[in-house]
Amino acid sequence: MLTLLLTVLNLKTVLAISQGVALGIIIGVLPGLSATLGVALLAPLTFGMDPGTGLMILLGVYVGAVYGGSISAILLGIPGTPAAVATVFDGHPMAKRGEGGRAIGIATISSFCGGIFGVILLLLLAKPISKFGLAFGEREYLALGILALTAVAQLSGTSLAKGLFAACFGLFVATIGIDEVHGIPRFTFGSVNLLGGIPYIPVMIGLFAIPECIVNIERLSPRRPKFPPLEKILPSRSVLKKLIKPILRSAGIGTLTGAIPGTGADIAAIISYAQGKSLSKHPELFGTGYAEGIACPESANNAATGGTMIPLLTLGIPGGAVTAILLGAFMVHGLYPGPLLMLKNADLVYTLIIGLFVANVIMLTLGLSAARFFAKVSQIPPALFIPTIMLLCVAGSFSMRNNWFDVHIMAISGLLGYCMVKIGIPRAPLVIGMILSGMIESNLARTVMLCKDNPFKFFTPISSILIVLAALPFAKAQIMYLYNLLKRVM
Amino acid sequence: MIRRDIKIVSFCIVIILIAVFMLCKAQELKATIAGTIGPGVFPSTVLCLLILLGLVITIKSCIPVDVRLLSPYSSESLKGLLIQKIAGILASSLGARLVVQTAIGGGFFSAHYKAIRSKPDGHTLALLSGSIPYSSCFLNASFALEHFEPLCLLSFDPYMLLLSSKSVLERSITLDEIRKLISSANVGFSCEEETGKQIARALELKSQIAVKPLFYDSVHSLVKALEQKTIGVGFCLASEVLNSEVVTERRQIIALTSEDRIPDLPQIPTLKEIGMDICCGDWMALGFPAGVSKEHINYFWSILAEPKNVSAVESEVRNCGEIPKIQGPDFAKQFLKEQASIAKDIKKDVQVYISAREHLTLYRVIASIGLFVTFVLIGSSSSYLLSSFCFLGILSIVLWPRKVAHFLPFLIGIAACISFAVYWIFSKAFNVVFP
Repeated sequence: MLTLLLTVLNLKTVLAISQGVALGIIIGVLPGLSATLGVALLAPLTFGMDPGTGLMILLGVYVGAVYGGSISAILLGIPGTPAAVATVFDGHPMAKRGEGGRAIGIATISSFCGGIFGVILLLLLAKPISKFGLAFGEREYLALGILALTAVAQLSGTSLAKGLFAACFGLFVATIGIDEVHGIPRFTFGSVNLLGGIPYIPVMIGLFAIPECIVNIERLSPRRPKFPPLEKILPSRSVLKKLIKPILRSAGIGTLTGAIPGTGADIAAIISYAQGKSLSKHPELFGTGYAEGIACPESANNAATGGTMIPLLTLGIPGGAVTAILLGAFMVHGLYPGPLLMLKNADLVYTLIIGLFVANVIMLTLGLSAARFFAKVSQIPPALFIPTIMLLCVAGSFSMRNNWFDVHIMAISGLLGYCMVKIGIPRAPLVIGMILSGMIESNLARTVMLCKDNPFKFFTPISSILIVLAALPFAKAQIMYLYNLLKRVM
Repeated sequence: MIRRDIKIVSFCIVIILIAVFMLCKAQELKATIAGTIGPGVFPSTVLCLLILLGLVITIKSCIPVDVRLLSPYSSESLKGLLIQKIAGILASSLGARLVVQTAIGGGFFSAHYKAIRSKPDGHTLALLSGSIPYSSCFLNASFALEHFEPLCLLSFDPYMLLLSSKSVLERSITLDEIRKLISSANVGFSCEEETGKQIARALELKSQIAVKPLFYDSVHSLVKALEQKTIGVGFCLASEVLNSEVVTERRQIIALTSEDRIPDLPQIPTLKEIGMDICCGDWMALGFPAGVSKEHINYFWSILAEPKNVSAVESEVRNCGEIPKIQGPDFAKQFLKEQASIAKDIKKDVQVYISAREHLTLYRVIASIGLFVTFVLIGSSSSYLLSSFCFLGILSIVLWPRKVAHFLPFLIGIAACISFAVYWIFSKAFNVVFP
């Protein structure tokens, strides 16, 4: 472990993580740009680097962006990222009464504590879950893939049907190209470019970055956001002492919520805010600029960054859009997350966990020392950063294979993503469907062969539990439908 | 009954047609390795599921919805959450299918635009707001209230006139004293600049005195300015003062810009009582498109006015940090009329500017998509550096929110720097060979 620590703590790696965190905070601070967009945009830049450094930069971007969203949430009342929505409730009223600096200080320290808690839990759980994962065969993996898809489909949108529709579309898109078992081209229509399949990264860049740019154009305002001057940033010891309990509680909620596929930093923040309010001695102060109201969501959303890595690193299941892009980045580097990664590349997994820890320390340092600079970043006119992001989308997609076809894929995905945003179909299930398609198809083929003589062989104890969990959302939807119908009739 | 968005139905039909076509293609895929399930089985299963789910969504979307509530606020924002809760309360009492449609953005994308384009058949409700949210949606709400028939007022947060606590007044202030304060020194506003300008103009019209406005980012800065005597009197929203201990300690409230005194501060008089008939603040209301029948309004109000619903809405509004004021259609109509007249008095040219902006938003979106698609199409066949510079430069100009002429050299310079920097970083640091 000491050797790994020294590997991460060399100047080059620390500088690389710092760059990632700083870029992540900048992306998070700019209203309308999410952590998903940041990781998708910067993923192609890391492919020329060694896997450890490249992936640590992406983790730095992830951690930085989730934290950065709180700065614009507090100062402008606009959450920089969806994960900072709950921070607006108390952060902005605090800033409006001239305590913006203190609010940022509380958010930074809470984010750091939450982030570290998540990393510790990831460190403790990675090995046992991976060991448990080793018991998984093709049937369990097939059931796990189905569970991940239904969970993401249910939790990432308002309608289960729309989520599953997107997931199925993702599963289909990934079947384009040469079939791995038979070597037969599928749905390529004679195009040489399609033989290798639809590349993940340009699709992800297009799906997440382009719609966000266009939506930002719709919301363009001639007014420049203004915020009061930041005074003292470090909160007093007495305030911090009072916040220890809510921070730790929210960190626990955040890590566990993040570990559930389909949830993520945004859901974790809202759950912990609601929990914080219900358990607080002064629930009436929530929403008026109360320190606990900032600490709870901020601790939870950064703890969720560690939590989302648990199913990704141990079982190879991405819980959300960011982890799906990270999984894509792992694959480009020739790494396949799952129990075997822990077995074969344990050093790399622990290096990444230490990298996540270092990223949180850097986030704390940057957050407390350069908050004023990051606050000013929020004033960059959208007329400058939107075209730049669109240009980076083109350059990033092209840089993957030096092939302009990937840029076309990105543009088509971008327009598709914009349509999906406009009609309310979630994008995360599509990406996760694409990523899991290969795993589901290969395990389905093996399961069918294994259960040819007796279909009930599919139901092992683990696969049965996973399938029941996957079926729960459907059962719930049907029960709710019947309940509402009865209520209306009665 | 209204039909739900046709866009989702069209989208699903397109995907279903593609899926059917691909399903036909999948039948041509034959297995070549014995014992395996064949290359076409998995895609065919997925395509069948896709068609099935597409049909489910299409059928669901074709089931008529009883009421839709158009909201200008993002569902993630505090006010967005409030609207969801109000919709929940309404839906459960109405026993109807009610959906909240969020339409954020200026111009054609705004809830306001969609609401005034809807049929006044009682199936479309919109959230009206007197504030100017940062997202610029509903920018012209105050200027076009005649397009709406109000159902009820939800909240009203009046402005407060503040003095520094050092200048303590033992008795109620008189109209002449207010006039003197306004004319002798600057007047501070802690609100959006546009809103502040509107109040300043309304004050000028009512008091016949020229107002010298100064704008502040927060109540805290406003109170500081009062103490430093940069301003003689300050205006800020009542809810901000009530929620801030720092300000409560260091201020003296002399009057409110509401119709009546508010329960939280019963001792504070209104400007109307003092003799200046001005009623303005941040408010929220529900309204139908103009022309809706009286029966519809009365039916909805009879449901909302049930005591349990009023108390539930009141508590939700309070949780949102607003000051609740649940009032029926008659009061709301009178109130909105007054707000509209204040808005109309202020500046005629603002309305022209705003309606021009509405169209600009749509043009900007179309132009941005067009430019991006053009860049993607010609990027491979022309010099990348040149095409990226042109793309960046033109798009920055298209998106620049102010008059471009003064900023043209700046925008072109920035576009040149960024396009060269991106080219250099990718080609030098990552060995990318651009066309």
